[in-house]
Parts: sequence; C-alpha cells; structure tokens
Amino acid sequence: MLEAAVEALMIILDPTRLPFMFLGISVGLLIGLLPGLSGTVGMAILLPFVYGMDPFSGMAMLIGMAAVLHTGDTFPSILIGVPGSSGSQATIMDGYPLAKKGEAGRALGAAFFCSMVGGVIGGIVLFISIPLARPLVLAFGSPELFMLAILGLSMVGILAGNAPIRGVLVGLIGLMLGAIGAAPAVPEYRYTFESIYLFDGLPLAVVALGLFAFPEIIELLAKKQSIAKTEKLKGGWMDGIKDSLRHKWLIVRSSALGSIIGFIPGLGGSVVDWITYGITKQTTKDNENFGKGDIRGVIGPESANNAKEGGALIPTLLFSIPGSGTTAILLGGLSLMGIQAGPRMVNEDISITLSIVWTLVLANIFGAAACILLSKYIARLSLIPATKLVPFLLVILMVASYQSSRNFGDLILFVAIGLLGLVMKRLDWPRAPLLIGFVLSTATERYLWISMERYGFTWLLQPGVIVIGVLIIVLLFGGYYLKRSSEKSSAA
Amino acid sequence: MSKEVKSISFTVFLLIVFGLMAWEASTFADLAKFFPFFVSIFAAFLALVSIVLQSIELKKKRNEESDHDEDIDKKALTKYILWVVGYIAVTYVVGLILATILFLLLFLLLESKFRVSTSVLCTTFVIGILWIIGNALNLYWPEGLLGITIF
Repeated sequence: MLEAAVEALMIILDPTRLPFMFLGISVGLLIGLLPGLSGTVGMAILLPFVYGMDPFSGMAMLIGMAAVLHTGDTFPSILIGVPGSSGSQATIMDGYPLAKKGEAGRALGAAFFCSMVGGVIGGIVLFISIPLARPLVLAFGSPELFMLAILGLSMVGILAGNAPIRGVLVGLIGLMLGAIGAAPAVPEYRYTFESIYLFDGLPLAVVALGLFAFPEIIELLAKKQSIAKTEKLKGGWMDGIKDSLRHKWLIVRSSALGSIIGFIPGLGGSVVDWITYGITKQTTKDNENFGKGDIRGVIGPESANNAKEGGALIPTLLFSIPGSGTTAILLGGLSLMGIQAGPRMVNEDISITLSIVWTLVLANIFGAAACILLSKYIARLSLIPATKLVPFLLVILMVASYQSSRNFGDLILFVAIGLLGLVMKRLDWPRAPLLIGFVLSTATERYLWISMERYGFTWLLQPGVIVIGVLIIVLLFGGYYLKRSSEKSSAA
Repeated sequence: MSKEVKSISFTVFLLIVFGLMAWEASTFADLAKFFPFFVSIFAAFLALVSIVLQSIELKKKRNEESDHDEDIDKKALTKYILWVVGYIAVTYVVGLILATILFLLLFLLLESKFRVSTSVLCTTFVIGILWIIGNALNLYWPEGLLGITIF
C-alpha cells in the first residue's frame, strides 16, 4: 500500500498534471469566496472539461476544487457574517464578532490553518479507512441516522445560550420551514399554497443568506459604521496560527469528528460544522465568550468542515453512494473518465484512489497557503464604511440568492427571511438554531418514518441508537455540569 | 415599547403562525401529516410557555430598569430596508442588470456620496465583473417583466 501511495504521489506531482490541480483549487476558492454558490456549482463548471481527460488529471482538478471550497468560503463568513457556503455557517458565530473587534486577520489565520490541518487529517482518514470502511458504512441504518439528526437538533438549546426555550422555539421554526414542499413519505405538497416555487422546498442558500446577511447589511447601513468597530486591525494571521497551535487537540478532535460525520451518507454536510461547534462549546469549561468572539468557535468548525470532505469521499468512492450534490457530480465525472466507483476502485484502481487522497492533502495545503497570503489584504474590507461596501455586497447577495433555483421567488424569500432575521436580531433571539432545524428537517422526518415503518418501536433498542442516545445525554448534561462548575469556580 | 414587550408580541405572532400551521397540517394525508402536525403543536405549546415566562419576567422587571432598543435610528433602518425592497421591485420590472445599474448609480450618489465620475466608474466595473463571472460560471440573471436583456 505504501509503495502504491508513493507511486500515486509521483503521478500527482507530474508537471503536466499539477496545473489541473491548481485550476481546480482556483475555481474552488472563487466559488467559496462568492456567498451562496456551492460545491455543486463548481463541479458542474469543471465537469464538461474532464470528458476524455487522463483520470489522474481529471480527478486532481475535481478533488482540488472540492477540497478547498470550505477554505475559501471562510472569507465571507468571517468578514461580513454571510455564510460562503453551507459548510461555513457555524464559523459566523465567533468569526464575525472577531472581525467586528478588528481581529479579522487573527480569525482568518486560525481558520485557514485549521482548514489545512483538518483537510490533511480528512485525507489521512480516507487513506486509513480504505480497507475498513465497508462495515462502518453499513453500520449506519435509518434509526442511527435519525439519532444523528437528533444529535444535531440537540445543538439548538446549546447555541441559545441563556435562553434555551427561545433556542428550541427557533429550531422548531427551522423544522417547519424545512417541511415546506414535497413530503418525503407520500406524494403530497405541504404549505405550498399552489406556488410552484415552493414545491421543491426552500433553498438552504437563500435561507442562510437572508437570515444572516440581510440583518447585518441593514444594521451596518443604519449605524453608518464599518464591520470592524475599531479604526485599525488588531492581530495578524500569525496570531491566529499561534491560537490554533495552542488548541491543537481541539483541531484533532474536530477534524476526526468532521471525517466521521462526513462519511455517513444522507446526513448532509451542512450539519457537520454545527455539531462540531455545539460540541466544542459544550465540552469547553470557560465557554461564556462563545458567540461573542471566541477563537475556539472558529477553530472547531473550520477544522471539521475541511476534514468532512475526506470522510464524504469514503462512501462515494467505495460504494458509489453520493452523500451530497457535489459527490454525485463527482461520480458522474468518474464515469466520464471511464472509471467505475465501487469496491473495484480499491482493488484494481488503487493508484487512482490514492491519487485522490494525495490531491485532497496537497490541495488543502496549497489552498490554505494562498488564502493566508491573501487574508492580509482581504481583511481590510472590514474597515471600509458600510455605505461604501454594502451596495456592492448587496449586488453579490442578489446574484447569489438568484442562483439557488433561478426563480424570482429566491429574491422575495431573501427579503422575507431577511426581515424575520432582522426582527430576531433586534430582539436578541438566536438565529443559528433556525438554520440547524431547517437543515435537519427532511432528514429527521425521513429517517423517523423509515425507522417506524421498518422496525416499529424496536429500533429504539438497537445498539447504535442507544450509543448515540447516551452521547446526546452526556453532551447535554456534561455541558450543563461544566458550565455550573465554571460559574462556581469564577464566583469563588 | 420596550424590547421585552416586542419580544412577547413576536412570540404571540409565532404562536398564531404555529397554530395555523398545525391546523393546515391536519388536512394532509396521514404520512405527510405526522411530522409537521406534531412539531407545530409542540412549537405552539412552547410559544405559550415562553409568553407566560416572558410576561412574569416583564412584571418583575417593571419596577426595575427595562431594556430599550440599541440606539439605532428606526427611520434609517426603514429607509435601507426600502432600498433593498426597491432594488428587488425594479429587478422584477426591468431585470437584474438594468436594476443593478440604476441601484448602484443612485445609491453611490445619494448614500455613499461618491462623485458622479466615481459612481459611473464603479457601476461599470461591477457590471463588467458580473458579465465575466456570468459567462465563466454560466450564471443566469432575472430578466424582468419587460424582457430587456443586455447580456
């Protein structure tokens, strides 16, 4: 295996193939930088070019794009509080408050460094799991997937801080918004009011942009200030890297968690960063600054969202099970190059599989390096007064929203959700739980229905279900205990 | 109106919405009903609990100081919401590209206080970038009721 790995590295580093990886990295960073555009768009752009291409070059391009998407999407999340893609939603929670304090450079440095380490760990997990993945993937049935969705939903209370009832209520709004459109169990459309736009449900990108971006830009304009409240930027990217090194075990833990959640098909990549953020907050003793600009709130989700890509490739490559739109198009790309994903890839096309692992690792390193070099200049955006920055930002948001389903309804939804977000922000209601509920709504309903239809109530006794159930209880009560003991010690 | 009262009003609004959603869900087929019906019933119950708790807290706070909104000019807030709504309304009529030209020129001149030449230059630059990205990424723009297409 090691010999094959070295051989695959030599193939990837071939000067005729390397430019394709850099092309993929450039597209991935650009797509990440533009809010609302997802990896699916990047894959769709590159797919026509891979037809008839040498499989190593084609894979280098496609995987290079997918690997760095969650590195580039950190810029909008931290600098303007707008999720660059679905995988960087949780980064806003502490990244944006840091930018407001004038510490955007520090937050970006930490985020890129963690993204790089997370991506490399994801690649290593993919490498190690090649011979082990089969029993692991098969261990997750509908009951376990339902419990994982519940694990994600349990984060809503954690993210609500001192107002858990409000957090749960907002999470329930998200669940109900997610129920709009086709029902998973039966051919019936719910809450669509005969509008064709609502038949497919609400697009995640528009909901996320409206909920977070709209209130920010309106308030920035009304307050007539720049994103950073300070006149000068404090702390550079090196401070961020030092912070990350100080919390090295958090990076390792979050990356491992990201890889594990990533390899479970059907849960959705957007959940990874929220679960990691919630667990990071819940398992940290002095967590009162989370949500106000705690660097650990950036380190956790940023390590996980890049590591997730390695995990997500396990079911895609080894079982032809795409876990997301991006990996579904990747499977199409493999077919175009004459490769069939499946167990055969491990036996007969091992060099292709290992070249994918190497591309994942190298693209993360190159992508993070490029972002770190750019961050010094891009961080200055946070010093520009709102009236000079927001009009351009609004054009980007309008274009990004419209790309979700290319229907005018996207723009109306952007404003409608935006107004809801603005009211919630003004009244100090947490907004993140809404997004978690929305993201997990379909998965929760679908897997609950399948579990009940297939097993009745006996699914509650399955070992995997019990283990995840215990984990949820430990996280909730453990976090409560840690908070209490930290309050007691600070009072003493 | 204090923030607490506004928050209670918002929760009452949520209670009504959840109630209506539960009522609507009761008309769905059984397999489509179970999830939205029980979630909205639970949400309505929780909204009710939240209203009671917030009211008790408000009563306690009445004698003490009460939180007021952060000092943001409400007129300014409304004005900028109308800018966004206006931009979308114009997009609906003339399409995104023309609406963007109009919005940027007006906003940069009136709100950003840019000079005319700077505003024109910035607008041209943004439209140029949109054209490049649109072609490279194969993006689509809303065309508008009048069906005017520039590119």
